[in-house]
Amino acid sequence: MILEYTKQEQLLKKYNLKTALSFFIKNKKDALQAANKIGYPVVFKIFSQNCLHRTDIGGVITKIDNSKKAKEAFDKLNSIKGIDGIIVQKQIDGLEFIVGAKQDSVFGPVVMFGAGGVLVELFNDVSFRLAPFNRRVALSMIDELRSKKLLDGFRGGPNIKKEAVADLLVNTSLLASKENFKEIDFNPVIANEKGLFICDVKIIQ
Amino acid sequence: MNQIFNPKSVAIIGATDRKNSVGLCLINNLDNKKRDVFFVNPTYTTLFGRKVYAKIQDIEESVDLAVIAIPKQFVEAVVDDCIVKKVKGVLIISSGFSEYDDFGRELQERIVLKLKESGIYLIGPNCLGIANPSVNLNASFAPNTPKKGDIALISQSGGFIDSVIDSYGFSLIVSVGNAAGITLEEYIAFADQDKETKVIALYIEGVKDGRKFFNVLKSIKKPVVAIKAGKIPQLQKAISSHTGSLAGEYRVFSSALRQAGVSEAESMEEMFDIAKALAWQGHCKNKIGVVTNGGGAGVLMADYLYDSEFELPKINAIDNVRYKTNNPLDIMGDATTLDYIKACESVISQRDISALIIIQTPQMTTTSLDNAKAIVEISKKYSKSIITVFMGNVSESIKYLEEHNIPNYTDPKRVIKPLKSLLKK
Repeated sequence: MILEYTKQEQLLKKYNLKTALSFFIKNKKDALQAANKIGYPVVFKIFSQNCLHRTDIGGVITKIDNSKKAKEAFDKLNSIKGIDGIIVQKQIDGLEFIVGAKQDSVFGPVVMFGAGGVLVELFNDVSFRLAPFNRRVALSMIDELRSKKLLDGFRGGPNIKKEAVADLLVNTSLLASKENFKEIDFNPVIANEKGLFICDVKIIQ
Repeated sequence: MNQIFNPKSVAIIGATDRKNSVGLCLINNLDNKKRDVFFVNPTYTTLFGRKVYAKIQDIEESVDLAVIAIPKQFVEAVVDDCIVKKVKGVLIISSGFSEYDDFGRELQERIVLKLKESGIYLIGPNCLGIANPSVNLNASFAPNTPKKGDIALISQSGGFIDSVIDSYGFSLIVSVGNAAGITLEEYIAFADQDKETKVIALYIEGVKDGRKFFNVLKSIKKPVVAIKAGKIPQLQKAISSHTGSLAGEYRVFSSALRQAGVSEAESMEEMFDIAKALAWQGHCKNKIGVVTNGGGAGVLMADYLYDSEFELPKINAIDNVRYKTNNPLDIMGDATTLDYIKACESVISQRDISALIIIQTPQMTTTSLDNAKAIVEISKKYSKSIITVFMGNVSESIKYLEEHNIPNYTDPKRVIKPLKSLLKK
């Protein structure tokens, strides 16, 4: 089961893991207020402790750029059964990464880093390290990826600070080595010139 | 543990003259007059004209190591005898313990407890044995006795040891078996302290405690090369995240090896290719010079180096030569030993070059052994890494090179993994 939304938030804060600006709301008024506060465009997505794959049930609506669309999006998501609430989040563009952790049956907590959004499972371009680890180890994790060139502004893409990615990995490794969990997915983590933002969190206990 | 790996006296429990038996093989491997060897077997009174003791307690002299090769149902009683005799260590070759069934597991646990309480080391059970060539100890039933060398081979498979035992030189060989007493990690730490050992080679199928394994690999000083068998994924339990589905058991194992600074080999040949480079050559950086008397082999070498992100710095001009100064430096097919010396000295003394690869294709005018001798002399003068690629039927020269700690590979491709392992040494 996924950890409660507020508990996930607390855990991330504890380990200095920065998420995209978001609000967890339960009614339409709050949804619109949140969207205004964040500034359009925004993303709406359902949150349910029992739902592991929300895109599969139409639980994510992106690129909402005005209040009319926001109202429609809210109604649509709110009609999905069994949800705990809706996350209103700033729409962020950039390079997509996946950062994760799991309990390995032999080695205990391990952290994973990969590039490529939805294609991550296809290309299997990921690296692992036993948690916890330091920045030097985190940098070697980045260096191990075939797609490491993406971080250097490949074909006009953004230049990503490797140190910032490394710090995110180190902080994730601290969380993984100190907290109780089964599996963790930060997917996607979106990187652009402004920084690195965890846009989706799934901590499974 | 030193007393176990260099015992003054050994008792073979289960000594026999029966052909093709473990007991006879142990006699042949152990009884080399370097130490006292006693035979124990209640069904004999003499063997090869020597006294056979019914029980180990009947031996008057002290016994450091008891090697047990008898059916498992008799092992516990014999272990009791060894405790009475106050041996330093017990090596149980017999199988049928935790690797076999619950009964065997319980039996093993009882034996482990008894020996632990008496402060006696346990090697095995279910193993091939151990060897320490530098003190002429071969307490195993391997088909050959290994040559002295600088590789400590620690293996979870006895058969793996059998298959390489006569191909390389070893400082230590340990078949860990069920590792019920001395653990895999303790053997690794012991090899790290062993004076003769320059590199530790591991054959691993699985480990009981991954963190313990990882921590010992991280903490030891000597370089390690490992081959991991059993990569086929186990049936996956319910997985609910991307991370879970991407993190196969082998992927994580391989990452742990890398994180601990271990070089992972993909084949047995590669394991020993890497081992000899790590044992004989020092750390190097990724800037490589190549000297060759064959154009094709040189270009192949350059391709492989380029693919693996090695750099080939420019070679400084060399006076009075008939070839162009490129890297790879092709000194032509009719290169003499003097040509080799001039080129190699010039390249290796270049500040921006960290390691030298010397290729030799056998041609009409090639004086292979002279080249090998010259290379060994150069290696004494410079502290940089040297690797050779002597190809063709020049086994005498290759033997000379390797006797002088220059690793040779008969295919340029085989240089890459060993060279990579030197980067992190």
